[in-house]
Amino acid sequence: MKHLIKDTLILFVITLVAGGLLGFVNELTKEPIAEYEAEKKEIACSEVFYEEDENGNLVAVKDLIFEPLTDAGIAELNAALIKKDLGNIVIEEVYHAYVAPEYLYGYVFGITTKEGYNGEISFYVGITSEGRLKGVSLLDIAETPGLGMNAEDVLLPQFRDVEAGTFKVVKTGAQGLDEIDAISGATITSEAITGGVNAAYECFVILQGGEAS
Amino acid sequence: MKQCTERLYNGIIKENPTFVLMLGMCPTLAVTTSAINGLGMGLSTMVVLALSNLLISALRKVIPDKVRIPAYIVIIATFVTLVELLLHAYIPSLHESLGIYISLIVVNCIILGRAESYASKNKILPSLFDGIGMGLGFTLALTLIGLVREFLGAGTVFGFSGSDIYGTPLPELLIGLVNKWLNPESTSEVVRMFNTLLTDEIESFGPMGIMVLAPGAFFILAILTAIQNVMKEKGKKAGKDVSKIQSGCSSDCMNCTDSGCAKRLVETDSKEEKTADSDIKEDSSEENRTEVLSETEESLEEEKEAEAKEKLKTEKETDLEAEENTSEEKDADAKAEENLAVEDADTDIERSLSEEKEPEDVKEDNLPKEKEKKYKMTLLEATQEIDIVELEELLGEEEKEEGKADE
Repeated sequence: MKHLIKDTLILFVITLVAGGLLGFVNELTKEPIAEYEAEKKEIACSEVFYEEDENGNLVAVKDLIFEPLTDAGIAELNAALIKKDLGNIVIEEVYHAYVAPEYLYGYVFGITTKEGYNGEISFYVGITSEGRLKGVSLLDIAETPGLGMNAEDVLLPQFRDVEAGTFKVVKTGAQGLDEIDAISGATITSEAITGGVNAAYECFVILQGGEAS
Repeated sequence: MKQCTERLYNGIIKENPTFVLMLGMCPTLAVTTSAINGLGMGLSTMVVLALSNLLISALRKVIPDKVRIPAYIVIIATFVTLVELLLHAYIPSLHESLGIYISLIVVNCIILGRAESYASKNKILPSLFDGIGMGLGFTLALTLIGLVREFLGAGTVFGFSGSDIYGTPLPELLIGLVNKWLNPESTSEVVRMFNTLLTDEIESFGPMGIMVLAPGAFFILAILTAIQNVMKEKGKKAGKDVSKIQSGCSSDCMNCTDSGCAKRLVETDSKEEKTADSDIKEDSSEENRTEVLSETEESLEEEKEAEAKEKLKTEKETDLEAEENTSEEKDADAKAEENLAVEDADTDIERSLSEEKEPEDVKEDNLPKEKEKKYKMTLLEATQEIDIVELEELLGEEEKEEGKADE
């Protein structure tokens, strides 16, 4: 009986010290981690409106100021998506992008889709107020390397500077303007991302004052 | 100090966790998609290994035996979480490429194995260097495997693609070099054919994408294991002690008798032998002891061949405890378990051999236990190079006694 108490006590002390140490380091690293995550988001956010220059590199073209939509507004959009049976796609953030205080350039939608192959995929979609899909940039993706992870090279270029609408994924070579070439061997990833882009378009229509289709 | 450098040498070369012991295969396969990933993972593991070895060795007299596994795991998990938080905050790029595998360092066999077998039984400084040595060995192995997979699978080395400086990717550069050496103008038909094969066929393919995916990892692992098997066979024929090779995990997962990787890694500098593990193992060993009695007679000749190997094994055992039956049993069991490290049929003989008894035991009465002790005693003396004649005399005596008992 005595050694039972002694064992328990020692284990308790060890875990106590471990817990204290963990708490301390957590506090210490909270700020740098938060900073890093915020920076990552900002870059991904502004990337959607980049355009290609002569060398084929993506550069910022306009100086944009981002104004977030209210939480209530975002909740409304999510409710609308659920009504359209798109409940697996969640709008996390929406930003109004202004070039000048009164001139709305477009919207940025931060989307998380649960329909990825290996879990959730988070990305940003940028649509101008004229209905032009300017670009998609990935924030968090953990698909299969060599297959789903090729999304950046295969899918994103297809979403750059095209007419916004509802896209369809095809495997045998995209022909129409609303067809997207799937990543070979990664249909699920392709459909997840395209589904998210379509949801963003739906939200764009709602924000512009259109009716829910 | 010498012991510390010996620990380093041991971990990096003599008992390299990947190439010799075959421990921690899961992160090896998963993380070596590129050399820099392998390097990063190896260094993180080394940090955790060194720190946890240090702390466990410092606390080795405090942590009670019965709760040592939970205590070790708490300590290791704490260090891993600390490393992950620090990486996330200060080297975020590495954190992203390693992803979930940092957290999986907790269940890396190497760490728990070394804690159980070395750090809990040795002083602080050697344990620290043992951790560093093993970690460096692991890092070396991961980086090498990562280099091979990255070069074959993506044509780059540490992310450096060769196109940046030379204008041509690295594999093509190499093929070009081989070409020059093989001389396309050569008169030999074979050489010219090989040359065309290289330039026209292989160069145009591009890198083997499969090498950076899971199947590629298994290909590399298969080659590695094949090389280990060859080295093992060669070593056995030359009479060297090859028990450490592939000793990380017993080859048979179905009938795993390891009870945790630690069983394989016993190596102690101290004279004390911990018999705590024997409590768990008593049942299985009981059956083995009867086998031992019958088989020792038959396999005497084999033992003489394997003398050198036995010697090394017995050097490690140094238990001189009392002669009570219960403690003897525990000893037999503990040592029987420790000697599972050898995978071939000689296992049974070695189990009996490992038990060292005082010479006085030979003169005691003819209880079955005493007889067993005598057998073991005589075999032990054989390995200590006692006169063969004396050995035969002793055996002759025992056979007579056995004959009497049977009547």
